[in-house]
Amino acid sequence: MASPDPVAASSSDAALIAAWQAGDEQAAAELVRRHARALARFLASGGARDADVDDLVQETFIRAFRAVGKFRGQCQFRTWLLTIGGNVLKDAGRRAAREKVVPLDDALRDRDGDPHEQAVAGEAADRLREALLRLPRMQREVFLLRAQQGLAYEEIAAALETSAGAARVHYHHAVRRLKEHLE
Amino acid sequence: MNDHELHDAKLQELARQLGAQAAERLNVQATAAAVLRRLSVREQERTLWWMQPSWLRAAAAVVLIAGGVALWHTGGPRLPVHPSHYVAEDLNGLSADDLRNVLSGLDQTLNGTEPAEAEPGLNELSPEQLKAVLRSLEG
Repeated sequence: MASPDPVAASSSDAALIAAWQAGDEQAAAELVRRHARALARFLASGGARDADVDDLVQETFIRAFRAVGKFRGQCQFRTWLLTIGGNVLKDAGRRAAREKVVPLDDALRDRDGDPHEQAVAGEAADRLREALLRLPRMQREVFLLRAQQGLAYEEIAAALETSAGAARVHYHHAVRRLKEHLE
Repeated sequence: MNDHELHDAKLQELARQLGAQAAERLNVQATAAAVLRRLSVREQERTLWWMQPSWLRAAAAVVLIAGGVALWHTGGPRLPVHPSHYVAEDLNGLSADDLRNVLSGLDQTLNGTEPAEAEPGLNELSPEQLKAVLRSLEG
């Protein structure tokens, strides 16, 4: 694949979205390059198996690009993308349940993954991952958007179509329950 | 920083570590290429989806037109053309017995069976009622 266009790489998300809507595929590729890793972290933390992360990232971007006309800039593109990722993850969980493969909630992650990673991953991180999967979806997503992605409550609220106060409440409930699980 | 804040900070630090390995493993260039490829495939599928019915409609129209033209030239079966005619218009000159006979004949035609010997229902009807029954059978 060709190296990224330096002009595209320096463009804002909004400019890239407009370019993509005008038919510029490289603008879409730049958006993927820019946000794919953050999305992958979000999906993996939300319960995606390692083996599925790449496919779920792709599916999220495809849904986002096809629905980009509905994005009104109410929040950052990345935040909007992460909420779509949450929907993709939920749908994947339903599919897995229908097909009677190991459910995402039980799988937590691919245990056959990199042994080095297994060794490095601390017990606390594993317990946090397990605890996250026991949270209601809204609490889990608010917690990850806030604690992992570092977003403001106003930004989270705009993406999840709720109020900043409600997002704050979800976050504090999530933190309380996670602490209970970790202690 | 108090214990509570320290705990929150630790929790956030742990949250930031989650998924880091999966993110690192992701081949971003390959993912971007795959997304573009899949978008292109879906676009083609959508195009085909929209095109197919047009082709089917066009083909069906051609078949119908060609079939119609062929039928016309071969002098095939044509629908009988005659003006609308309602039997009820001819009922005025009929007696009650005639009307009963007509109704019995209709029964026979509709049921494909011989009329019952006794038709007590019809015998009890006046000529006007019999005409009304016949008109209602005409629809």
